[in-house]
Amino acid sequence: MESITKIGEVQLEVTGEVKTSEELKVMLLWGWGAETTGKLSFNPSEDLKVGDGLKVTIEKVVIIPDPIEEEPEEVVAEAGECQEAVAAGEGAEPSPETEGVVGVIADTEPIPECECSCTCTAEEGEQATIGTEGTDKTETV
Amino acid sequence: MEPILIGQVERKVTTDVPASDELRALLRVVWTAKSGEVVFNPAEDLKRGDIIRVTVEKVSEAPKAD
Repeated sequence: MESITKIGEVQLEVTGEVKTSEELKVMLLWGWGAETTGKLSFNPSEDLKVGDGLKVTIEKVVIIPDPIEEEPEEVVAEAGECQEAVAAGEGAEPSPETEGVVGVIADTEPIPECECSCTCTAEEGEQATIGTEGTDKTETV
Repeated sequence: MEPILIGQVERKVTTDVPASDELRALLRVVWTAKSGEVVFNPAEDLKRGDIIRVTVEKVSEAPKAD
């Protein structure tokens, strides 16, 4: 993004012909004649003739860096999913296969399968595992 | 007449210029002046490293000789 501030505007009259093949240089001189910028030159888009009136606009360009895009909503969504999973686990009946293995999971924390940014305790994770498809995972532990 | 864009260029300022100081604008091809000098005061301080954009437009044409 750019911020543009007008520094000045002057009107000049061409005193000598300039062809498009020639490099026209805009001089911004200060004090005794010091140049204040790098080379401001270009080929004019059309021939200039004596007596043509030109407007020269000088602007300061400030480039504003784009703000870093943060995505807090995704984090919240992930946490929400986790909460939903936990909530679902609370009401679910443990399957007979996992029922006896729950104690093993409770000893290992944090839960490796949980990829969200929340701090799931082993107890919550345990419920989540039971409520979702955690049957195979608990067997591997 | 509608202004015609003749050219536009951006460069960095190479020296500090306070707004209280006058700047002189003119056009040259090599060392030959192609316009008179026009004096103006910058609207704000210019610092070394600032980027300025200079736009040249043709706003009027020379009167045609009869």
